[in-house]
Amino acid sequence: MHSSSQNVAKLEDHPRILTRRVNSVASDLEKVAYSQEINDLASARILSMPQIWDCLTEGEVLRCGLEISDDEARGTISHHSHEGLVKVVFALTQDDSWIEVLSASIEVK
Amino acid sequence: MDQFHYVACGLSNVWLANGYSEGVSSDGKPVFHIEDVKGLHKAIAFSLVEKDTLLNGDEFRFLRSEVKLTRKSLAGVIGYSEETVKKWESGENPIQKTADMTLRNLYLESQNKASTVRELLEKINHLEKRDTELFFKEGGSGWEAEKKCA
Repeated sequence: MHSSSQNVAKLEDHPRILTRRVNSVASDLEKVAYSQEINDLASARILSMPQIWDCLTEGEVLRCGLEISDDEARGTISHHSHEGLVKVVFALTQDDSWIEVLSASIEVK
Repeated sequence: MDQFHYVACGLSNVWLANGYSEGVSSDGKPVFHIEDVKGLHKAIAFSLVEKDTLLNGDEFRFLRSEVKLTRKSLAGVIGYSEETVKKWESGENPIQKTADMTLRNLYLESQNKASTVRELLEKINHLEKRDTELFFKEGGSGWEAEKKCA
């Protein structure tokens, strides 16, 4: 029987479980920080902050591009907003104390 | 005293005197954090609703995004074309007074939990969300739904 801590860690990093973790952590926006890349007027005219928040709290983590380390999980979460498909690249600390929005984009309908 | 220029809200003239912090991410890139950021957006929206002069394009877009309407839906609600709303928001054309006032009122209604207008806005928003495309992969234990990455 494989029940090593390594296997438990892998289970915790499954996209569905990561989705629940990201949705849960981001539901408290006090735990969300943003890359300075987000603080760009031209980008903000295309993708609003409320759309980024909705993506974090209601979106699903994509299976591809996940990078897991001892300290954090990095990946992309996507969500169909009223204006299009929003994708947010995030970094979530392994203790769920903090999530960083590294970049965000939208594929407008 | 330092101030934070919060342009991520979509407005070029919002500065924060406090309630923010700046730091670096785990890979050394600059990050920022804002306390009660939803409360901040609400304060910005109310200041726009109460301003004496007509909204400019960025301000109009900010209020539209706060009520979560697409240009197309808002255009339908206020009786203009999507192209007209686009030109207002880009600053190409001045915003009509009636549209300006209607959007301000829509925002106020969206903040009233007992409002039927709020309920209508939520229904429009819900209808606009495109159905998620579903992808399935056959694994050892049967078919499993998975999200498309690209």
